[in-house]
Amino acid sequence: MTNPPEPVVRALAPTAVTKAFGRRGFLAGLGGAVALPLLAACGSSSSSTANAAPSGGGSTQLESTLSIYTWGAYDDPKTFTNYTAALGPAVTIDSYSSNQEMIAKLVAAKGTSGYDIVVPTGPYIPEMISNKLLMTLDHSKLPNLTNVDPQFLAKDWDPQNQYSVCKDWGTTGFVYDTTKITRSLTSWADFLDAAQNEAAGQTAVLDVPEDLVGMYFWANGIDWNTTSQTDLDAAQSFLTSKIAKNIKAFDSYPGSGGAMPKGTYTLMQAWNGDARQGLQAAKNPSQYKWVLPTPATELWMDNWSITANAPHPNAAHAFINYVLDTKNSLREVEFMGYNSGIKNIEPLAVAAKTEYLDMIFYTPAQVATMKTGVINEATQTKVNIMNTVKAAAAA
Amino acid sequence: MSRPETGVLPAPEGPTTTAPPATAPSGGTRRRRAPKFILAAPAGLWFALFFIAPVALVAWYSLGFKPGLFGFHDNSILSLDRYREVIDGPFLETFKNTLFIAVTGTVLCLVIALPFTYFLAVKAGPRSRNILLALVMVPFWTNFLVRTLGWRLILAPDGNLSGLLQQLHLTGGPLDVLDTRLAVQIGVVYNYLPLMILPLWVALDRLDPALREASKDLGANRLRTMLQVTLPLAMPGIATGALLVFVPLMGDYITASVLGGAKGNMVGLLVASQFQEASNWALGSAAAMLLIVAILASTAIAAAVALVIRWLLRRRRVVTLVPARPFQSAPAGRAVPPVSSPAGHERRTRVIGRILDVGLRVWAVAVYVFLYAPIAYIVVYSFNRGRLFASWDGFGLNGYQDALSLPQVRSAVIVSLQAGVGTAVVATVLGTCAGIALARRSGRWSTPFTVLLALVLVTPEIMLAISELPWFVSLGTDHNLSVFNNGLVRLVIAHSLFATAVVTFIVRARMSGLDESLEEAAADLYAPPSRRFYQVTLPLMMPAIIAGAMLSFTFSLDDTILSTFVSVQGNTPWPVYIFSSVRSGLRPFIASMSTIMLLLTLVVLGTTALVLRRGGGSGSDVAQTMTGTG
Repeated sequence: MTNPPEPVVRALAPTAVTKAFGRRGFLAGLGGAVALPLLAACGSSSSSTANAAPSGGGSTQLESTLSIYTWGAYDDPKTFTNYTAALGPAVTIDSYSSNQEMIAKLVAAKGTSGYDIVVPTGPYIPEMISNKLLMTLDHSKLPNLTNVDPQFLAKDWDPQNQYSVCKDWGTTGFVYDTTKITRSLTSWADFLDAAQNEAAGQTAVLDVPEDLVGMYFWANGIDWNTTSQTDLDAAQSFLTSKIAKNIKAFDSYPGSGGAMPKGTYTLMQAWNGDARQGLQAAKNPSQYKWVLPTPATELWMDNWSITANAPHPNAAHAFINYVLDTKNSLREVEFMGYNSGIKNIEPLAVAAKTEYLDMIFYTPAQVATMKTGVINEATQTKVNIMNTVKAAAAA
Repeated sequence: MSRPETGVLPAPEGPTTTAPPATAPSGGTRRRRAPKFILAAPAGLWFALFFIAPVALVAWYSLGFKPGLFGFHDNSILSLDRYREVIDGPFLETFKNTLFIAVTGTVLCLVIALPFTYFLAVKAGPRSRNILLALVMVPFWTNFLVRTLGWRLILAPDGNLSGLLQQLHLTGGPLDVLDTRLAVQIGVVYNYLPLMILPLWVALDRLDPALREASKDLGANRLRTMLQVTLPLAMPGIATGALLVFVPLMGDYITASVLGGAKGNMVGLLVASQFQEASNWALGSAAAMLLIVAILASTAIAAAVALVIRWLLRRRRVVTLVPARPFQSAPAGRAVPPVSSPAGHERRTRVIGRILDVGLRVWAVAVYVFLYAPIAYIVVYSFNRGRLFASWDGFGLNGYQDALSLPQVRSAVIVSLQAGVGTAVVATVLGTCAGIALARRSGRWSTPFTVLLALVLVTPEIMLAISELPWFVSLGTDHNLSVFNNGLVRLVIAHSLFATAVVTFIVRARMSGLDESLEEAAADLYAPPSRRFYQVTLPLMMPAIIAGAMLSFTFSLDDTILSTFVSVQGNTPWPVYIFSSVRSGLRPFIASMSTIMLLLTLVVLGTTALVLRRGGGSGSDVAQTMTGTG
């Protein structure tokens, strides 16, 4: 029984064969395919394909729709409805849980994904630019760029903000259920310890390779951008043998996704804004405690970018400009719980009596413990570690 | 490869069962005929273009490597290293898990379905049994994902079931089943149970009651009749059911990831993540190829074991039946009456029989409760006033308001319905032609064609998904055939593959059962071929065509894995929308929309049943048509 697939492998190996087959097959199959465009014609907006649309050019006419591919629960739904009411384009949203997922989708589709706006984390931007995944931003369509605090502009990954504008920044910490863990947890070492004790089998971690592996490095005082194979091996063996079996779920959105307010986990790694949304949804918020762990943790910055083949570039620019408006930005901050990097957003949020301010805004001393990740040769290794840990967690 | 072919669907054995009329000596060359395979040619081309070619592409990718962080695949150096990498990596461990879940799931499905279906096919009255069968299918007209989410509501630690069990002191604390292996097991049994029930029903329904009577008359007790008559005759159904459950289960990762959390890491997810996250097409392709090989190997092993068991049983039967007969016939003569044995024995068997009947009935009720529980929860939670899907916050109609007003929800449902109709049309046309060709024009081409169909059926969805995406992209961008950039076109093509194979088998089964003399009679009455087709053949085939179209439509409406891969933004179908919300926060309107869709489906089903009945079908025919078992 193991025989049959093998000839398939060998017989169809040369590309020339598959290509020729494809072309010939296409002509032959054309008859059948004729029915499809007819079907497609019934579709609402399906006739406008990504390839057909030229990039903005001189036209400033807003398109009728806009599609955004972003992180989960990352914007106030009112932002979209208000934008549509004010400017016209109807917004559709898709969400992802990691940069890898977003990039995989864009690259695999070779420009046919149909997304206009994506929200990559800073370090991924240079590679995305060099792989021609992003469109150059037209600053003349972004007058509100002047609202952005200069310390969040001109970052290493895009010194002239040609391709990206800060959406917000945040950090990675954890939340625990104080009815089940009665001692005080303050560091990543505490997290790893509690995961093996009070929260054994009831721990959730982010579904992101860098953050999973990061915990170990942060807890052990190792630079989390290390490329040392010894360090990476140590991380893998610790996470696989000690932590994996205690992981209940790989969940990037324990707060906004609803697991935390429902009491699903005892201990969960989380981004500050997501943890805040979880506290807001919990019936008894005092049961949960948010920790910005010592001695070190992550600082990430996510950015608005437009895809290279965006079918609706004008609507995309208009949207980015819309959210850079100070008033709109404040509403976003209040909803998602991340600092948007707009000038004076902190005093405005304080004045607006925004909940859990300490989870959104951090002191310079706290920020000094946070470090931005980089993309390097360890990135692929971290993906592999993640897969190994996932396999071990399921065993 | 001939094993799955005979087991896949209840179809007559080989292509030679219907005598090919072309070789009939009489009549000379009265009818001029096109090449025999001509009717199957469109389906064949469709499979060549959208099944063989893309799968070959994946096989090709598996020999390459990942060139860099943003490079997806490179085939400039060919090697088998990826296969070694897969075997050395976490694949084996995950595969072991998956195999365990799949085998346990298949066995559980069989254990649950066998008494249940036996009750339905043998014990239930002729009138009620069709309704009872239709009742099995109704829950499966709600979305696959939504049903699975219903289990999250049932099993929640703060849910009603958990409360009840705690009150009864059956559990120490809140129910801790979610995000465990047990939850995965419950979910897969639930989702795949009908795939076991249907083929079993077909097999048991065809079983002549006279055979069991005969067994009893020959002195065999219940157990023996069950083991030596009923079960062997149900064997084809069991084999088909096991295959229909096992194969998709091996590739499914949706059920497991919704219910199992970290414990739900299936091998399908591992393959998917190589494409969706790690962007390592070579490794993902190699893993997918190994998955297929492993599925075929496990199926072959299971088939071999089944054959050995059957052989052993047959051998035993021959030996044991012979001495049994004279022993049983002795008391029948009543020459030497054993003390009070016949009356007592009879009463005892009657009591046992009554107990068994009650037991079967209870079992059937339990199965129905199991089938409907998650649906009931979904319907109740569709009235959740709260912001989160799973947290009950009081009664309210916000969910329905959102479901009907949110443009994304509406567009997702519309896309799904369009894809469903498109799939049904394409699959029905291609499958019907191919089915007719297989039943009426079989020839040397039939065997390879049937093998191809069987391959389509046993290919796990994840394999199809990872093959279609690069194929569509390459047709659309590298070859500038922009029609393949259209999301709806992609969905219809991807969904139509499996659906076409199913329709073909259903139509073939129907046609093989029909007497060709009817068509010949029409010809003798000078009906031209077109008229013959429209007035004789087509009406005869109608139940099979309707069943095929409905199955194709449901399959497309339910499909999540394929759609996740091939769909294009702007054409996001409903299941993909739900699945992406699973991770980033579900809202009550998902339950509301599903309830609306369930109601609409019931209305459509009811209407179809009425139309079919008006059209002269008996109740049994209608039920069989609706459930696709005709």
